[in-house]
Amino acid sequence: MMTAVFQKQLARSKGRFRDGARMWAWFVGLGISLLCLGLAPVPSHAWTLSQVQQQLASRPVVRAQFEQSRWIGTMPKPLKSSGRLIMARDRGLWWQQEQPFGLTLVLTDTRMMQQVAGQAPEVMTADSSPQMFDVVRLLRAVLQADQAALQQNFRMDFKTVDSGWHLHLQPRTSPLDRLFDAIDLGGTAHLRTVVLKDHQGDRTEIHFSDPLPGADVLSNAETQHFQF
Amino acid sequence: MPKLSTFNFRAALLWLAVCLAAAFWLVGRWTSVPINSSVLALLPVQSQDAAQAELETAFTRRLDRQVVWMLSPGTQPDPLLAAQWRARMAAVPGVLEVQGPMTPQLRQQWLQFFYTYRNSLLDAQTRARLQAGGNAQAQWVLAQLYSAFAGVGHQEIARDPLMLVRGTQMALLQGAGSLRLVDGWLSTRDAEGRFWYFLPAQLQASSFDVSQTQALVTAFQREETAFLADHPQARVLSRGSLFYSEHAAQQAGHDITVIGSVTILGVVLLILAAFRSLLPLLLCILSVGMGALWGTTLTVALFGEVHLMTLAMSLSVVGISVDYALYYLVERRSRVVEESPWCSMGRVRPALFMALGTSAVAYLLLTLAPFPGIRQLAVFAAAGLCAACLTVVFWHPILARPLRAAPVPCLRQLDAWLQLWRTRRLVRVGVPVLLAGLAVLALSRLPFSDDIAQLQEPPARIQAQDRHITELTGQSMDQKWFLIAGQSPQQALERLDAFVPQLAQAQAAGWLQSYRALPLHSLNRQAEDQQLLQSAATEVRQALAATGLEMPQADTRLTPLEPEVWLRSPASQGWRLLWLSLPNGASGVLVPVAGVRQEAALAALAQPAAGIHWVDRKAAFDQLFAHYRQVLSQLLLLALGGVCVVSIVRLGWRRGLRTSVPSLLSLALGLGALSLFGRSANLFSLLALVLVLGIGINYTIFFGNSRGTPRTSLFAVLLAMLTTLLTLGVLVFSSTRAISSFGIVLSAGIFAAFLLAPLALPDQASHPTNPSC
Repeated sequence: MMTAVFQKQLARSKGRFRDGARMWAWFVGLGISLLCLGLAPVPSHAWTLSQVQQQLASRPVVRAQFEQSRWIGTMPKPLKSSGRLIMARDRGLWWQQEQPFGLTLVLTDTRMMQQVAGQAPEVMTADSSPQMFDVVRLLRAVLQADQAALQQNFRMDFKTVDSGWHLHLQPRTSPLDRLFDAIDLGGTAHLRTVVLKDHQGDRTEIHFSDPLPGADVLSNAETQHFQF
Repeated sequence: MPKLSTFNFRAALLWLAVCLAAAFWLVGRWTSVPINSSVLALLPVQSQDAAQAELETAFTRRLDRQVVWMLSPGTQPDPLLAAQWRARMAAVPGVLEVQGPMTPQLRQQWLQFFYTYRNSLLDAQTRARLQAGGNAQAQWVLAQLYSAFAGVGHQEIARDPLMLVRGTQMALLQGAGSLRLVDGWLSTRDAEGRFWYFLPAQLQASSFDVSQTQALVTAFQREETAFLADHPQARVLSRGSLFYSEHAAQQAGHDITVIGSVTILGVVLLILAAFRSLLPLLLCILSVGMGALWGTTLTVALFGEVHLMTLAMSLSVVGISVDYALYYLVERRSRVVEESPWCSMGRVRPALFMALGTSAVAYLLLTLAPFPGIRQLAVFAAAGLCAACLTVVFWHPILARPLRAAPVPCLRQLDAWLQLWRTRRLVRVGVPVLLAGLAVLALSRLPFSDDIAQLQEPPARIQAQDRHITELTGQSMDQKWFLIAGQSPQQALERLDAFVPQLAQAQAAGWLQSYRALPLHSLNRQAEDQQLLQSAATEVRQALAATGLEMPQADTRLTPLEPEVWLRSPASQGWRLLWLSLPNGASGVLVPVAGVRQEAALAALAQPAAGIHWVDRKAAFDQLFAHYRQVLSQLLLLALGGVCVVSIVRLGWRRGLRTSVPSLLSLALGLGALSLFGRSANLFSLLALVLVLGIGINYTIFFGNSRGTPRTSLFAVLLAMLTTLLTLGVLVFSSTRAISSFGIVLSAGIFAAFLLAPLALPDQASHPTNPSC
């Protein structure tokens, strides 16, 4: 009996090790892409999912700030972090955590990089972990308003609420369903929050600021972020 | 005369007794004589490290037993189809195992293993962080915790606060290639969106001989055809040494059946036509047979084994030794009426011994080479030639008694040919000068190549599939690797641990793209790592506590991981081929490398004394070929010089030099003929030259024999040349490039030797002196 429980736990944590990273990357990426909505004109009537998705490809570059809280197990306080990000449609995602310590994550079509300030970067390539990059390609599909991608992987519940719209996603394909209970997206003219809940009861909440003003092309300095 | 014949009969009887003894001895030993087919055994003696050679052979055997299939059901995964293919192929007799999917149970065992041995399986990056002190690891753990991309849960923290399993997993992922698990099956997707399953299989150890290889490939093809008929949308790719060797065997089989039957038929018809009697044919077979018997006997007695190459080359000895019998029989037949068989033997005996002496010396010179393969060949040839010659000398006069008299056929043409050489200065000087010019021209354009890939053109279909699989998986058949050898499993692992950082540096320097080092450490390294963990664990905890995170205390106790345990666990799946431990404890690890850019620099990392060997199978073969080619060319020059000196000493300056011209030009023209066919010269061309030299000398000696009649000599030489062309020259038609090159050199060289042989004629058209008999 003990071993059975133990093995179940192992299976779960294994899923986390191998698939977790990619799936989380996907959902954060999805959230970020929805930020593009921010620059679209605000419709006065009720929201529809296709309206939301139609906005996705409208802006090539979106800059914003984020605040993230992670509730892990019985830790008394959530892990809070904040920083800024750039979502460039042609290049990928640059995620710069500034507080409480420097941590850079860059996600492109073919490479993923994680670097703790002061340490060597860790790079994963599409060749070495193709599953992760399938997710990135799926993200591209979302960016091009490919509803099929979402419908294939989730049971969706979209509704208009007082504060704007709310999208409840419930994974229905493996291994997504092994990782997450639910993903909730919420926003108005742009994406406000992403909440990820997993089977262990851990929870991550990301709040996004209004999109920062900026050009539709990356500056030279910003382009450097994607070269590693 | 009776006295003499008594002596001759005694000698014949003695030779019979000795031959019978040899035959009995050989038959008694034969079943236990090992036939060595390892190419490594041909390597120069001093560079051979027995333990390394043994490991390398074992690894090679094992890799040769691998087959890889890639199966595409279309653009979407279809695990049922993969399972069907697996079942189908696993049922083929001779297939040991086809790798199946990773089942949920296996997954659990796999993860359990990594958790249990997390303190023993540290990856290089984690070790580097721990060596930098607990703080670096603490930073890394924090980054994982904070990153929304990393997805760390509270169960992971509770069980593995130092996140060692995570580190190991990330390291494995980074080197995993483009294959991944889908529904538990290894698979990948190509640029066109086609989905491919990767299905490696292992064949049974016994599936090495030619007939089994052929049966297997036929069965695979049958299964594939049937499978594709059921699933027309599917695609299948295959890879394995098996397919190459089957193709080579098929070509060789074609050569043997077609060329072999042409040869036998041709020689039989030729000798029958020349003598109009069955007896000479039997006598030729007898002397050649005795040559083969003694060659094998002496080789086995001296070396305790026979190399496959020696047996193959023994064919060449046949080509030379048949000349002795032919020469005697031609001479004998033209003198049946006037003198006794022994008397005819007296005419040719000096020439036979002279021919034998020169050829045997030329072959024995080869034993100077430090190559075991060539030494064996030389001993075999020298012994075989002596035995064939002695058989002719001792037995043929007795056995040829029933031979009926007959004039030499085509007398007019033969005489006219001789007359040309005797009387026309234009021919005597002009033909050799013309041929020499031709040879110089051809040789100047002749490229040399030791690239074994050029010897044989692998079939395009097999190669294309091979390339496709390389594209899909990133795993090539380059067969370049480091072999890390040790006297014990632990020594091999210690050496691996010490060597991997050097490889990492080489990779950083861009010498190579990637390497696959066994993710297993020596017990020593595991103990060192545990020390690192112990001293860092507290520091990590304190560093995390400083940021307000209370982490549980990590369990840093050592759980030693022995290779046998690792091998039995699912964690070693996909790695097992790279580890080998022999019953005597000698162990080796293969570290395959890919994308080599600085081969020389990489090869220089090898330290044979410390068990680190650089192995490039193709380059090793190329090098072997180059070595042999150089040594052989030197020996050939030496032999050629020897031949010149001997004939000058024997015949004086003028005639001696003139007699050497056919040998020299036949070698040059034989080699030069290659450039005419757009071929390059290699080791096989030189081996053919050895034969050209040996056979060409026979011709000049038979011609130069003052006791023989020039026209019978010419007929004997003509017959000998035709026999050689029929036995070895037909190799020109071989579908194997190396063998047909061999045939080209031989045919051209022998023909040139025949053409120029009249240069060796004695100065005046004197009547042959009679031997005292």
